[in-house]
Amino acid sequence: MNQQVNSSYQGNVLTIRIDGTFDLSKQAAFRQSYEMAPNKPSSYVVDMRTVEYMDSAAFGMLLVLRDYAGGDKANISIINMSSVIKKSFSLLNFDRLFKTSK
Amino acid sequence: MNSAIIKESDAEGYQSTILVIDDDMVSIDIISAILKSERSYRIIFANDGVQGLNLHKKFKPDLIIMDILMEGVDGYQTTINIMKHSPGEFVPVIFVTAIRDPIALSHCFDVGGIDYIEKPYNPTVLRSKIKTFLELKKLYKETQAQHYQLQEHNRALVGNYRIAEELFKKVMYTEVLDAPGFSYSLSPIAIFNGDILMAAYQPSGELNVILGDFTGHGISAAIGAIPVADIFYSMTSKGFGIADIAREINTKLCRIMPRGLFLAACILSYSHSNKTFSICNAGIPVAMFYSKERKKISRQFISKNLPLGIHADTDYSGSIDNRQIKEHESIMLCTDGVVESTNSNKEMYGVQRIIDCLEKNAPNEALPAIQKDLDMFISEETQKDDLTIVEIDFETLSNYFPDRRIIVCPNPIKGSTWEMHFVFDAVILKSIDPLPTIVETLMQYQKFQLFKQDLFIIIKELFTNSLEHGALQLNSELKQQPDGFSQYYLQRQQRLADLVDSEISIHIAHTPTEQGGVITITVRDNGSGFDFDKFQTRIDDAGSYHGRGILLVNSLCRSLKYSNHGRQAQAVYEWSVH
Repeated sequence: MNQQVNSSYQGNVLTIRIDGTFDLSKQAAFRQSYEMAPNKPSSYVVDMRTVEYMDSAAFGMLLVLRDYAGGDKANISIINMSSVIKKSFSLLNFDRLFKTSK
Repeated sequence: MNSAIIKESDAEGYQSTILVIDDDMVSIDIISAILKSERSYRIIFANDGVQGLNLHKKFKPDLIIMDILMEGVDGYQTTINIMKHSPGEFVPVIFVTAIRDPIALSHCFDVGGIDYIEKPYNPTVLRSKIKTFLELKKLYKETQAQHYQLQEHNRALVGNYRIAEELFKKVMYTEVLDAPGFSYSLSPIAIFNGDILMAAYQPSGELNVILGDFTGHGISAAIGAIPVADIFYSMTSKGFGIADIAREINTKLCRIMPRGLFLAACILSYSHSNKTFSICNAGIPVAMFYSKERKKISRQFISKNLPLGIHADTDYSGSIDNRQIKEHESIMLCTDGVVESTNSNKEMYGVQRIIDCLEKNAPNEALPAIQKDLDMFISEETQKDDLTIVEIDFETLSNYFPDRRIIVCPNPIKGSTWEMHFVFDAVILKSIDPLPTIVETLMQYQKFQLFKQDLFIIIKELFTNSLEHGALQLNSELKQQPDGFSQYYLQRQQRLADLVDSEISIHIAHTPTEQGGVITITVRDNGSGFDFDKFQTRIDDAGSYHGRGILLVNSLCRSLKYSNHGRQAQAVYEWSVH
């Protein structure tokens, strides 16, 4: 039930998949997903295919990941965003901080 | 046989106290023998119901073993009496009896017993039952203690919250928020609000407003509000514009806030004299102009920047929208809690519903209409985020004259003679607004706080004219055209970025008089000048949007003179304490 943040490490890329609502309840699991990675990956992918809603705390969690991954040098892609989440990203102009191509 | 018997051997080092109430000595001896090996029990015996109750009061036993048939007060009644003396407590009573009648046995439970044991005793069953119920009692005690601790903790927390809330309110609030034309509704989900709303007047008379929404709710969200309020109020009172305020708050929050906490905010500024409006939207979903007359949305201001407190290098000056205010216009602002409120079908409230509310309802009922509509929409669902809706009706607000925040100087410094001269090159002009610092410096020397607003307006208008028409060669007529206003500001921004070799000087001279002093302000630029005569005529045309500032300066000063083809302006202002 609580396994709603899964991560997989492949070819130096860490993919973190979040399921359900992305909010404060996922904080610990989200943090663990990248802190527990065996090697520090060169890039990160956050897969949001089943996330319908994320609150501002979740945006904050992405910022913490960004810092962890090197701040302005971080290479983080957010993929499979729903249209609602895309809107929130552009409202907060977070597309300047993360790759949001897909 | 009226005294209690305490088994001496177990009086020390016991963990549980058991009270046995029985008038049959043989029965007591048997129980005593069965429990002899249990070193962790202290066992107390009573020979009748009255003594049993007294011993219960005195020793607060963890478990009671009760005979039903006793002389005098029987076991049922004794149990009832004990229960009556222990409201809200868990007292496990095990009945011991030779009775086999189901009705009589069920009565054991009616009076509050937890179980019964049949005589003659089976030692194993007796020991097991005692052990089980003592464990239950222990569990109950632990839960009680935790519950009590939690209650105490909560009480202390609520107390602290109340104090902090009081502080929070005082830090945030100014009477401007209650001015006619200013309406807002805040509904926090925690005692503390993650949303902030503040408003204050600059010395030039421009109103600055900030609506912000911190990440999260409650205390973690509110903690950032204090530095924000500090910066907002102090910079506004010194006359700083919204870009400078945004930059300063951003820098501060980046420095002090834990990673992951940020402030989505919208900072705006409104000039009553010029009917102009500037807005810097960094993450607020709804910021729109609404024409009360036509019941239409006339302009939406989209978020053009990162929220505050994320990236220290963010430049907020480039993402400011400027607008000329038309008649019957007001602005509507909502935080994301409103837009993202969901109903039972997991639909979001969205922006369109707000627009519909504005366009369907009577102009003065817009805000309550949105609130009502939102309440109906959310219905049984619980509120997830702080909800703030703000409406500023500029026309009504125009009739409100701000408290000038007069600071009475107890010992006014007598007028003295001094001069100040400032010269600013293109680098300074591009990067900072030098005026607030200049005016603050003046206040230090002469302490004429009463006249701060006038002086600010004069210096600001003359400086702005020199910058925009002298150094940047902007044409005010552009503002007259439809959409010209924002074009004007776009040009201003571009030309300022390209500016080289420009210079503006401000010379301020003060001479004392009997009751005060005369202050002469001279602003000069090295631009190519402008058609001064035409400008003078325009000053007289009060109906046009531009030139109002100069008109205001003219009304405040003893004299206002332009010379050197408009490259130099000199204003003479007189102040007096009587």
